Amino acid sequence: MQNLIEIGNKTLGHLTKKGSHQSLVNVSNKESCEFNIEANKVNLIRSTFDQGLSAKVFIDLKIGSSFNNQFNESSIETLTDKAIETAQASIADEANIIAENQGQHYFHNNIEEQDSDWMNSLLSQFLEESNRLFPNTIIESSVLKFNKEQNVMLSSSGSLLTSLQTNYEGFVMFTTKEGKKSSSFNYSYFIKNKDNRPLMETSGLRELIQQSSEQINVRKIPNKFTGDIIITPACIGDFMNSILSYIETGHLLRKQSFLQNKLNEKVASSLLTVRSNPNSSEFANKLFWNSEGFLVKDEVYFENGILKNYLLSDFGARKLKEKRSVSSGTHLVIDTGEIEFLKMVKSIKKGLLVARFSGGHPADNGDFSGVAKNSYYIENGEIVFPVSEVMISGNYSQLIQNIGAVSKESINFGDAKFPWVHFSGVTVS
Amino acid sequence: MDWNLNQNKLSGSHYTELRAQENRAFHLTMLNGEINVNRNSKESGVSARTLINGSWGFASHPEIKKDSIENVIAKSIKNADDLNRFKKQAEAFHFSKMKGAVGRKDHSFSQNKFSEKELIERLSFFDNIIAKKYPKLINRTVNFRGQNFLKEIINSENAETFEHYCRSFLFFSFSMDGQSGPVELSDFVGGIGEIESNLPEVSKFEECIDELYRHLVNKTTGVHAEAGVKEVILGSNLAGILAHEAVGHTVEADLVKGGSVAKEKFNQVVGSTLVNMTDFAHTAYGEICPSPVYFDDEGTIATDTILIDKGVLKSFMHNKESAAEFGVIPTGHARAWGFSDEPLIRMRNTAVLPGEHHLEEMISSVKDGYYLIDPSNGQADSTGEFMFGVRSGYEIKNGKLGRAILDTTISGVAFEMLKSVTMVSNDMTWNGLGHCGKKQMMHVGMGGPAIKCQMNIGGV
Repeated sequence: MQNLIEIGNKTLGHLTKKGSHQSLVNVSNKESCEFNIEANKVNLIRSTFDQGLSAKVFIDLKIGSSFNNQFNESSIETLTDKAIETAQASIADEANIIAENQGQHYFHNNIEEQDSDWMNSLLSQFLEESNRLFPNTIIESSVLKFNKEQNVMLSSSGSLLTSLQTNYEGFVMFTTKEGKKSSSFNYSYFIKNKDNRPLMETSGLRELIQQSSEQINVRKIPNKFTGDIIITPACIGDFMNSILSYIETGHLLRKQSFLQNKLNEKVASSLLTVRSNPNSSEFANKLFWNSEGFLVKDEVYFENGILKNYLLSDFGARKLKEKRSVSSGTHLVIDTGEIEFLKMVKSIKKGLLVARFSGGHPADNGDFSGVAKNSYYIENGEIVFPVSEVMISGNYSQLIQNIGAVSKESINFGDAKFPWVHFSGVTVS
Repeated sequence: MDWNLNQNKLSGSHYTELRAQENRAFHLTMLNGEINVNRNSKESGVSARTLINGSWGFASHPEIKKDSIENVIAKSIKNADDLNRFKKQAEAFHFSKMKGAVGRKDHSFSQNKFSEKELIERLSFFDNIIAKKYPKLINRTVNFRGQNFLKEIINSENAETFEHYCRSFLFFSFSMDGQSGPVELSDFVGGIGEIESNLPEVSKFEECIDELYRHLVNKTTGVHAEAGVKEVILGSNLAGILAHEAVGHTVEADLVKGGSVAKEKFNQVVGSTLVNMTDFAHTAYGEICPSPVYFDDEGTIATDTILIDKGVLKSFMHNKESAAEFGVIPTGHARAWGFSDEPLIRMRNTAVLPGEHHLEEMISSVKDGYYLIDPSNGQADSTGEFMFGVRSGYEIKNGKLGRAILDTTISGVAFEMLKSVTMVSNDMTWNGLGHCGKKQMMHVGMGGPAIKCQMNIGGV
């Protein structure tokens, strides 16, 4: 860590000497070791070491930045020259202000050494169980990875933030194949610390692989309808990230959001509460500060359907004369509800259980459409059959108002925690 | 730039490849005349990958020096040995041994580089043209983006290659208020080469933005498409993404081994006889493709792969390992994005080949359907089911273009949809802006003509 601080201080010194009025420097290094699975077999062990040095420069309300992954003297010279040149050439904007002093803090989270034997044992057990229970399912393009990451942020305002964390990260993808038939692929991911929980019991994998084994025999829905959908925890994150994009700097700065000027208004069902909890002890991975140099805190975006905060950067907040977000837009949590998932299904006369969504970019007015993948037709309170070639269409503004229920149960992915959510008024075709 | 990797001897009885690489990127964006993104980056390092008794080991380090090179080679061997130790029993494995590629390719067209000030002045120049011509826009975004990839590779089969690929673009996006909220469209000019050699003439730029503005104005009164299976004309920009998503991914050999439905369709009819599809290595019809690959990241000479010939599926795409397993010659599809990434089976320049029809006669042949022009994102599936977003299109009623449509999504099952192809236009467009995401990012080219077929379209 001391080495990273020295490099950061040296870079700050160079920037000041070369004419930067205010500067922000991030220095990092990361060691990873990854076990890769192809076609049900571990076929590669990959070790990587990387590092990064970024400089952000403020000169007369102009900003420039540069990034390199080399720490030698000539690279630091080149990086600082480039950052200064970029800032000097830029256009002044009163919103370009460096983050104020965040103090001096050292953060750490779950420091442990890589255990390759445990990684191998976890994967071997998982592959053996998958092969035994679901012999036609192929685990492919999957990884289990150990990460050890050190980060340092220094600024001319006086901030010195340092962090060290380790964790295990996984991505598991699978397809079932029987004769000439293939299921749609599905996947889940997790970030966790070393524990005794089998991989099959992590991030809903057992249920998803079980579903994959059933999705060999899919059917088309009987007819087009407008009705109910339940979105699973593994899928709701994609929807929520799309919805949150409408309260982010990009949309709001362009004044192209259906949530523009709706702060403190009821824009969604009372059942919807969405938070960003970057410091939560529930998560194996944490975030301590953002790219603008601010410490991040927990924050609520929608509380009982009321839009409480925008997800604005400091730059965006100054442009719009609004409050900046104190969180990060990451580590999302949707608060759970009162009803069990199975009772939620029972309440639906005709609908869809959506386990993966493959959609186009939503429109500025909130319109979205895409293919419901790995999904099931629901009729008279029963999950009836897995579907094929089903398109769902709707509007996010309407969707968040039309929430029928949120499940009691939820899944913790290690950097996000989501329940099942029941929406109505979606076109299924 | 050269790292002289050939000074490093790759000894031992096992296969090893060594790659030194540098990726550079810059991104400058103006929103309504104000800069809101201005950054550049450079990442470099060295990696080694070793195969011992069917187990791969890989290691990378950011410093390209004698000791770090020795260390990554040693670590990659240790990782392969560790994996063999973890295996309970030895497994049969396949690997194509062949003479490695030797050569150099440089697309950088070196010349005087713009200073940061000159870059911003030029971006402002194009932004001012838009601001003056179209005062009714509620937002205009212009940006310059550039990428450089420098790679030097050696392997224990005597490959020695160096490649410098670069591409750069001027990208522009317009927004207007429409009947059902703001609507947006975007386009770009550029391709292979540095930004200094890729800026358009003013007349060419005005031609592009006039066309974009015309479609945007039409979209302000656009309607939702009617949901369901429809007869559509996919414009040439969509045919490229069709080639990539609908067919390309399903015939990558790693996905074939992972359960793709294409496995049983080899040498089978998968489309109408009008359908021909090729993954070009670097050159098509005498022109350099948007993402040319002369030798891949395993040191294999890259050659074209005919995927579909007159409706029959003819080939999968391979790296050395899968080629040996399938008993074919590798054609150079192993590609890695960054120095610390391992090569994966990737597409290069995937295209539907032109046919004999004219776009006008294709549109006039549709009684009730859609002409779809501009794609956004896309995704493939092991079942062959694919989807892509559509940002620009029109209704076709009785052979005539009608109202513009709002953003939508289209989907289909590749090897069924291709059988519905009844007309293919005689022109072809390449899109060189594309990125593919499959564990790692990768720059790819996509191309094609206009196609008449049946598709499922999202809407009301």
